[in-house]
Amino acid sequence: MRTVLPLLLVFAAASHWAGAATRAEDQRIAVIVHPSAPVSSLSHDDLVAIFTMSQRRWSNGDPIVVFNFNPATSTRVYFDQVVLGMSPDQTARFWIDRRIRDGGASPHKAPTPAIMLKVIAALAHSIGYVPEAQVSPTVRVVARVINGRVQPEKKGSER
Amino acid sequence: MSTLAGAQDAQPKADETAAASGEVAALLEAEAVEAVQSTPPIRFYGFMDAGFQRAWGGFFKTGLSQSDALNFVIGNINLYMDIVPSPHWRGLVELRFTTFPNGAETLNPITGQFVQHDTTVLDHTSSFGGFLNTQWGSLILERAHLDWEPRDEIKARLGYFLTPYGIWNVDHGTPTRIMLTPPIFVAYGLIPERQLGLDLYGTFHFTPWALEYHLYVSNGRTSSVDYTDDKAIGGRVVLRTHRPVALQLGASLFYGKSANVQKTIGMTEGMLGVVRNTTVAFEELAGGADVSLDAGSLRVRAELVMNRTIYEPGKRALFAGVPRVNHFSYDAYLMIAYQLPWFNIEPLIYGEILHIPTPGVAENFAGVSVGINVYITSNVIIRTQAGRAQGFNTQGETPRNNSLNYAAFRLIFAF
Repeated sequence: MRTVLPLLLVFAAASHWAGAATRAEDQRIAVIVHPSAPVSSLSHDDLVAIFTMSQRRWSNGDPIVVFNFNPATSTRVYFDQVVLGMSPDQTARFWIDRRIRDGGASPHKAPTPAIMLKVIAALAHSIGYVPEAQVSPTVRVVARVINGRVQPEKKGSER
Repeated sequence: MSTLAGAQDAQPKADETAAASGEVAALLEAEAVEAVQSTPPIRFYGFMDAGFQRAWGGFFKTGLSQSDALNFVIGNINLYMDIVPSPHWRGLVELRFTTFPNGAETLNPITGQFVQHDTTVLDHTSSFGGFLNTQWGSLILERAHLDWEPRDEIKARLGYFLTPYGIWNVDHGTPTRIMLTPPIFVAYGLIPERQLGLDLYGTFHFTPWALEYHLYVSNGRTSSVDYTDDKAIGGRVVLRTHRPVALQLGASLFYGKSANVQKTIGMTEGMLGVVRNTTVAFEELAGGADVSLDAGSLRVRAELVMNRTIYEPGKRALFAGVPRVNHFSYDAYLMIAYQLPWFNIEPLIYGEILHIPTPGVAENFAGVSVGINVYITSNVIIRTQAGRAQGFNTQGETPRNNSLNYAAFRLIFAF
């Protein structure tokens, strides 16, 4: 019961969050990293390399720990569409193809923005994204997804 | 009055309840955070497919296809075990569960004899104590390797791995391969499918481009046992980008010497011992190039594979009792698939040309086929393909019965 209850609550919160999300095209997303990550700004191409797990290490050699939302959430759908250029079906097939070819991991999944924020703030070398309105000073913003485009954070603007 | 007093008494209890709920919520959230962060040390996944197929035509008449009847088949049941014992280290084991060798044929290329296998045994674990037939199957080790991954640019792989060449061999599984039917060069093994050895590999990122490389040393074509110290070497470079379209350009190389040794008990240096006799020895250089393009719903794949094989005098391999000749072989194919906007249907067309001297059959083969894929969900796929391969000679008469027609259907799960 102790194991099941948190999962049920997290699932309920995630379902509520997914349903209550704003229209995808209206979303503003902040790409966030743990404050120890050796990066202050990431370009669109950098995000593709990281979120497809093609680039697995930061410039200093530390492993990049990538977090994503569950596939059904509108923020994830919007992020995949704008950043990776993939529909939900294409994204799912991309990860299946990757696994069949050479095994390998896919990003960790966070059920809600609140948990994503806590995880990124707590875990060194991590990267994820949350709705811009939920960004807190515990993480560093390295890029934003606004109006269907990736905008790298200007250097020196990190918190 | 009593109501007011009751309400005043209830307030601290409500505060306590709210505080307790807050603590529980925080605890549950902490557990959820911990669960999200954790990485399991081993993960299981894989794919399976089943369906039906038919192959008929001249090759059947000459015996190369086992049956020209419609057959239901279990294609693949492949289980991956992905092991991460600690950061920077990873192992991957892939097993294929099969009914082999029951019912399957083996061709002895030296004698040209086909042997059919029957694995029927009496099941002594049955309650009858044995009065029950059962057929045993087998496991095929698709790959098993241990990887060290200190950086993106430098990684090392030790073990039994898929040869990094081309598109078909790397795509590997039915969920990933767009076509059902392999290119003919796979059947002829112009480059070995697997290597047992050490592979240094990595990726350099020059966004939006990425350059992937492999450099390996291995036992070569006779992967399980190498009879010589001349290790095979090979490599691959892949240049890929994701914009303006997903494009991948690859080039591969393989060089190796192979030998087959037969041992008999006999007199050697005046004593009874083991006499070694090298029956087959050859040197080969193979290479390939490939292009992969994804532009919206369009997918294009093309591969070119070449192989130059030189036998040592008197140590040629036999094919149906006839010594193989030194040869330069090549194969090229082009596949175009387009996903229609309706029902995730993806028709494809495929063309291939192969040149390989095959005594008594033909020196060239051309293959054409069409197929339809249906992506029911991302994990459930139907693939169909039907085509014809035709052998022909550019010089001299082309023997008869050198064609093969085929049609196949597979329902595929990825899990």
